[in-house]
Amino acid sequence: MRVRALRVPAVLALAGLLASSAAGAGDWKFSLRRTLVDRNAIGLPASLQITLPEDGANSYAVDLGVSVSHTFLRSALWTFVAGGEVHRNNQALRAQNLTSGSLALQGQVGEALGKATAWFPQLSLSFRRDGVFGTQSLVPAASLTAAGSPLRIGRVLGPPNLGILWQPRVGLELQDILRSPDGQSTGHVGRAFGNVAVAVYPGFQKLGARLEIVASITGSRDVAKSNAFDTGRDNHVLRTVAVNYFLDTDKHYALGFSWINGENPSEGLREQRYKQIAFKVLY
Amino acid sequence: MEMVSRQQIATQVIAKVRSVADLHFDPREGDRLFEDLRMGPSIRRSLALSLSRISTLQQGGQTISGDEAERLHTVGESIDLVFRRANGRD
Repeated sequence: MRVRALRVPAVLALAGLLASSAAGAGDWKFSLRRTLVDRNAIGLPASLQITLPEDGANSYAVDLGVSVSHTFLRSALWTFVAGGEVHRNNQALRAQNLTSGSLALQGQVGEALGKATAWFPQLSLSFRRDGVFGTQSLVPAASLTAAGSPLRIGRVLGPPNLGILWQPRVGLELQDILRSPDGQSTGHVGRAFGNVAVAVYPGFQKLGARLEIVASITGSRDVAKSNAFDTGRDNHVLRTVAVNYFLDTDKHYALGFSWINGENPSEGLREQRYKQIAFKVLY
Repeated sequence: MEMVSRQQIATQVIAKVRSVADLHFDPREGDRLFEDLRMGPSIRRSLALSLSRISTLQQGGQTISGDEAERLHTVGESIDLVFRRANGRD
């Protein structure tokens, strides 16, 4: 990865740090997980997989999002987040190469008291560089999730030794492609998306929730796009299942198996189907 | 500035946790928010506003962020955090 390619995400992240510093005191919270967008959700750990074949080139796959956050203007209602993401797989058949820098505001409306609902809106602005497609994009996005409600979102359900937790999220993003390879047009793609993640914890009490199975489905639809980006397919579906066993009681380090089927334009993941065993970290 | 006692804070925090966790009993300080009280990440995150309402009742009291609330492990940790913030400490 060339250092030059990280220049803009790094500048965005630095701007976020400076803006956050100006907004409040120095009490930063560091976060490391698979992606920044699953804040306010079932946090999936960052993953690193390395293949060292006896013949042929080594390969690796990494999915990680790093961020720092701070209450915005000392308000309990809004949190300011700055961070960056890397989604990279250097195997030719599964090529993925997306880096991004993001600034975001995460809010909370209401309290999840009893059957009441707490809403979590999130507004973000990201700069994305996709090394596979050769594009650079600016992506404003908005998403909404919730906790509580009569639907018991975010509460662990089930008997003592089987925990079940679910979390939905909906959102919109506009990918404004600022730069594309020579001879190709720039333009925009607007997407609406919905995601549901369900986590199951076999042996919830007995294992201290260290074994988790997280199934997730994300559907996105292109709601507006430039002619140059009209591939004739408007709908995109990504299904994933991750089985993680955390090695420590604080649940920071895990060994995990993942199954991926589908595509995720937001992470530069083309239509793929594969399984992966990886070392994972969650902070 | 008059310091609020930990016991005063504990009573309010336990009542809030009971309500947010939708429990029919008062949680104990040693109860773990996830494993014992079954509060997932987003429910713990939502505690931020509820706990901040307690800490900012005190003059000079500071707020608690969603990230801080999500990382709380036990009821006792929650009481300690609100106690510090109510008394103006990080």
